[in-house]
Amino acid sequence: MSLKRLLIIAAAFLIPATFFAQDNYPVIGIRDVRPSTWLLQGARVVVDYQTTLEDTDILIRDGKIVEVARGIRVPEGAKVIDLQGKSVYPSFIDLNTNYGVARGGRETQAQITGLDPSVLQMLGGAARQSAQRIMNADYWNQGIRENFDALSMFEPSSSEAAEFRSAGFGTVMTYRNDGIARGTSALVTLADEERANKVVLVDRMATNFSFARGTSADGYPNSQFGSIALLRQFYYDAEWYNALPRGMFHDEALEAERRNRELPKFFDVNNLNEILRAQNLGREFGFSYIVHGNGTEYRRLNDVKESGAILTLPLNFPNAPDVSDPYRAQGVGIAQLKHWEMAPFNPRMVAESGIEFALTSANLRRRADFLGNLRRAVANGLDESLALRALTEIPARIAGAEDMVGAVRPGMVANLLITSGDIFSTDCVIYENWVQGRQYVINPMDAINLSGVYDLNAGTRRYSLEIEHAGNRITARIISGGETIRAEASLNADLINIRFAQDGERVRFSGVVKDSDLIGHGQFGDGDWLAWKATYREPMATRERQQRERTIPEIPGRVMYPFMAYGWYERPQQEDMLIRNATVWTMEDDGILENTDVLVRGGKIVEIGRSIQARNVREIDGTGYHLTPGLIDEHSHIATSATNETGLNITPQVRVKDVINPDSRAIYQQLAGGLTTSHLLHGSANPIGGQGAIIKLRWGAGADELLVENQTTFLKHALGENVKRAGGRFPNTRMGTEQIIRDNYLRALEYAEEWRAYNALSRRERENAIPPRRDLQLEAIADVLEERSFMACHTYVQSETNMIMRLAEEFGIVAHTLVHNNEGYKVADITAEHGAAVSVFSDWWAYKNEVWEGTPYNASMLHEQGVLTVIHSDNAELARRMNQEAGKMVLYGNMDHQDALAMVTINAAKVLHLDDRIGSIKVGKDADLVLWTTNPLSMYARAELTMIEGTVYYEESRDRELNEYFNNERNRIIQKILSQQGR
Amino acid sequence: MKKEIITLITALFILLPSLTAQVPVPAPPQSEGIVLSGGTVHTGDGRVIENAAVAFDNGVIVAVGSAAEVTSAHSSFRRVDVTGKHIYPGLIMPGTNLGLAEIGGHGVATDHTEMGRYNPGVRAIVAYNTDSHVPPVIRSAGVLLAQITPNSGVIPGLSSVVQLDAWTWDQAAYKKDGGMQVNWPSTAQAGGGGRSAYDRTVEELETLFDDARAYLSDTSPNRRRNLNLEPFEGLFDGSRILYINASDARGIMASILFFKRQGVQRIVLLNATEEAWLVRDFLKEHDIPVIAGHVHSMPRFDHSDTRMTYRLPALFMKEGILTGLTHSSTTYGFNLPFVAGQAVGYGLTPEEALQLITLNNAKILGIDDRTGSIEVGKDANLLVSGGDILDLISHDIETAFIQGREIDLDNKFRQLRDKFNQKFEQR
Repeated sequence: MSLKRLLIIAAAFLIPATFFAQDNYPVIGIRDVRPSTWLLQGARVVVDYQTTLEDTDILIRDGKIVEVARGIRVPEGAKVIDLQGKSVYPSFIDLNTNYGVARGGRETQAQITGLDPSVLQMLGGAARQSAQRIMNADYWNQGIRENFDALSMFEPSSSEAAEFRSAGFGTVMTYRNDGIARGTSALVTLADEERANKVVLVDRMATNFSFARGTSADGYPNSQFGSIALLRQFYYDAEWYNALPRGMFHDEALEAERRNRELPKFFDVNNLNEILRAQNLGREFGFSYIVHGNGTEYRRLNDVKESGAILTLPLNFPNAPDVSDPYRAQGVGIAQLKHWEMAPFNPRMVAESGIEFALTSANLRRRADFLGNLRRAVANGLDESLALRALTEIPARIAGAEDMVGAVRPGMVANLLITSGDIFSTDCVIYENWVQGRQYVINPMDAINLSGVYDLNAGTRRYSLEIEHAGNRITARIISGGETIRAEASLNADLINIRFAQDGERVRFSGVVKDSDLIGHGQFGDGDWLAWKATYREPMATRERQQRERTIPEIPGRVMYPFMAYGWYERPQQEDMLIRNATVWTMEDDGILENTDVLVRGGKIVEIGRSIQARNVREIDGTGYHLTPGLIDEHSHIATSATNETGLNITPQVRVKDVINPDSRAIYQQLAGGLTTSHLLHGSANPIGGQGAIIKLRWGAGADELLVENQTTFLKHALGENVKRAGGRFPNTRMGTEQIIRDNYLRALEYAEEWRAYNALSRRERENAIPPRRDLQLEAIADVLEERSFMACHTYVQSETNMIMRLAEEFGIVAHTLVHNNEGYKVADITAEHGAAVSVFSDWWAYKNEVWEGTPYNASMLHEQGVLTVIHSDNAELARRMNQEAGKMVLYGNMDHQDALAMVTINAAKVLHLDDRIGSIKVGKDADLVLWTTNPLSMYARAELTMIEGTVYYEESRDRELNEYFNNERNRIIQKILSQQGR
Repeated sequence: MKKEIITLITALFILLPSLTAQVPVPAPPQSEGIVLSGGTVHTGDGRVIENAAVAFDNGVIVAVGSAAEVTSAHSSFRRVDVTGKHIYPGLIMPGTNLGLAEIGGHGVATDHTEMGRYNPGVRAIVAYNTDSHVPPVIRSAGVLLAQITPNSGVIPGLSSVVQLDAWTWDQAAYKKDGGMQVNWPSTAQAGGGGRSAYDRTVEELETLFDDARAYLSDTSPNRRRNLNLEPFEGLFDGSRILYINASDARGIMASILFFKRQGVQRIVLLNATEEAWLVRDFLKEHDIPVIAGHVHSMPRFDHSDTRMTYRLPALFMKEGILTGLTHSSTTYGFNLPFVAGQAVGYGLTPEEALQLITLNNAKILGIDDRTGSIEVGKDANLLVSGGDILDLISHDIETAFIQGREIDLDNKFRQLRDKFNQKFEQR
């Protein structure tokens, strides 16, 4: 083969696009292939976020960039565009879109094959809820659609694409915004094509998740902890599935999971807490998500950073809240006011914290707001090159498409923006957005701009004409003598109209643009026609605003933790303290000690006695005060993002610890009442509910930091009216409630036995055995049956209380905590023998049928019968005054004062298996202490200071300072809003 | 054996009331003069008299003063030694649905929410159930009188004051139909430029008052009776008090001005919340008494004072506004003294706190001529307690008198306790 022939073949491979169409479409009608070679000349080319070339040409052929260099020879057949003075950027990439992908519709009745109604009736309960679905080989829960591929229903949309392109985007990742596991997404360009084939850059680019069930027809999950439990089960199912021999069980979603495992994983969240929840979930399975942020990340930057999440950041800056009415403005929270002020600084703050992020046009009221908000973010201090990187290189890299998009380099897809200049400056105009070598004009480059000062001659009159012209807006002024007259001017193509009034005379000019001048005819007030001409004299004087050096503003105000009123803008520190001469309620055998000192060091109680000597401590004079351990609430529902999962009737797999919400005002309110520890339970909708979590009220800390270290888990059970009233599901009676708990206990025993048998196998035997499926539902129950966790059972009437104890005995366990237990006094003797503890209301009754026999003597009667008794709140307000609840025990039962307070301190600590750390004032225990103005059981008492592990979280004097600070802060921002609106 | 049987029979008789689990038997009228002698008298109007006595006969207080004087002046009276104990006026609880609702969440068991938006003629008193288990529970904590009110709609109807020891509702009636309730619409409904739900309600009320005036001015014998318009007469002549429930600051001002314009003579503001506190100068200027109600609720705004709801009763009282107090939930009326006591932690003296739920509530309900304080000529509605009734750790009511009748302080709570303590004794 001759060298010449070789060269010809090589050349053919190098530029094949010139000769062959890159599709497989049949030609219908007359072939109409237009020239597709372009040379863009002389532009300032921003090649990527860190490289800019001046006076550079770009050669584009068949949708690809062929060459980027100076002085490229014009190829034959090329169209040439002069870009002198213009800039070229890579088009932006948006990783958070649903472009061309509709949300899934709810499954119609017809699609639900289901089972025969009589069979469903027989199955009842949970079985029925999951049986009522399409009988295909998908995952058992419709919230999991891992096997869905966005491309399967992707259709390019010209109108949507145009919106994106106007905002500067050339490429997007698109996913279906529906369900918990949403399946795979694709990277596509925003070119208009007759079919989708040509715009897809990367298929199955990533998998996508959220906590929202979307249009799933399944009842489960309908809570955030349910969604998390379902995702965990899904991942465990995937592990199990991969270990199954072929042909045994097929699941489309689990197949897909195996296929998708190595893909990037996106998580769509609604708030900051969910970012951290998603990352906690990912950590369990060894991966990290790219999270679609919501613009509030500045509120807990450290936590977000530590979570390792990469973000897509929206530029959704809110409008100012309505504060025009001072009464109504009271209802506008400090968080909303501050967010208005700080949201435009979020991108900068995220960037400065070192979190990696891409920018997205998601969550905007209108996509057209994107550029304006982007420039605002930059004006507020977001680094320009970082901003550009977040729109190009970073998303391209995440997408695995950095060889195709995100830069203006040879070989890459010809996605580029032609602008009037620096894209981040407010007066920059995007002229064109090229996508796959297709030219999309956003603002015509050769559009006439009339800005300037003109000499206007009309008949015998002489004027000056000043025109400011930006985009479609024209502002014109006629200067006649010393007078300035506002004129109306409009331009259509090259046709101009000008109207103004002078001394009551209406003047109308009509004409055309001639080079830099304007000429035409018009009429004055007298109706005579005359010729007019505006001769261009000079440009408009550059306004002062544009000349001024741009200064980057300070971040306004301070972030508080949590981001609400009374949040800390300076976090409290642990202190060493000596409380002098107080009345100390030890809650131990020592009883109540007068004139006693307590020394706190390193968060622990280190000494109790008289006249303690200590250096380098904060001394607190406790004279006249009472010092008690921090109060403990055994039953609370504060500070969580979910209370009940009612999608199934047995939900032990859900965990309160997954949905702790540290942004809960109740935490602070309750600290002000001397509370330091709270057990947060699942609600009472289900016979077996979820796993509780114990928190300390460390106001300002993140969710994970609130959790008590090494805590015991308590599994919520519930009996009676709340379970029954759920309706339309099993059980409907106390009879059925017993059956379903018994049945699940039996299943859990079998489950535990299966695992025991499997774990007992030798390694070789295991190779041939199929491991049991890890079932989070049964596992949580098995934990209770094997006393790794413990029952906390919501119960009211004595029949059911008796039942649950007998049932527990049959299974060899104790019904650990009988919660509410309004008729506990009726079976106090049996309860004592059984060994259960009780956690009751002080005096609740009469609000429903099953509490009609409630009596405030309940707790003291239980106590007298030797039952470990606790008083709980179950109510965020009540938990602000648990000391009073204990005080009621003196009234109803004439209890000893320390015994009464024990019901909200040491007894609760014992019930929660934390009595080695909290609940009494004892050397070595946590310094969770409260200083009261008088006997804490008295209605006259106030908590003046509350500390947790030596950190003062509430102090009356500090509380007043915070109150003043936040009122001032409110006022400052409201004034700012009003002054901006008044402008 | 015989002796044991007698003991058993005696025991059975003693235990009979509790075993039958009925509400206690109402006491017969006072049959002899009684002098409570030697205790500390808390008069309810702020005064404390040490080593004092209270004498009463035919249901009315006839003497209050030093133990020695009063006792010797009423030597024919039965003397009850209350040395070391405290004597208080019976507590008064406004704004309840006592006897109108028994168990929450049971529609058929409630009688305080009539259908329709305007029911000025509907009367709470006729539905008051004297055999309800709730009154005995709350009166054993010292609440001897309560205002019972209908609740729903814009004008729910007429409220009455009852005494809590009676065979029938007419016997219970202490002040019949003395109040008209009104729920003023939230001003959040206003705005938007057009005619809002707020405007509509105000217009409807305007029409109602116009109609009432026209109706009442018609003296012709063939006028058709209208039960919904008749009750307005009392508002115009001052014999009936209007109780406004308005949820927000502007609604409070707007409603008060509206009803004043309509010629309503006596107006009380229910639910003195933080919104009312915003317009305290207005309330003072218009001499509007308030009832603080939702003490045990979260502060209204996120920037509110952390313990604002706890402070409000004291704040209003110290502002010089006539301030009463109630508990937001009728069935928990037994906590009324303690809600008052809580105000002591926020700036009131115990005597001021007591006044909230005795004399002030009496004034607000228009019954201070007959009760609310321990004064000669007033009804003998009295409590004897071993300690301070406003505090949990000292509250110890031993005896209570309603119109001189010593009432049975037994109640459902105690009956259940006693019944099941027997279970444990049987073991």
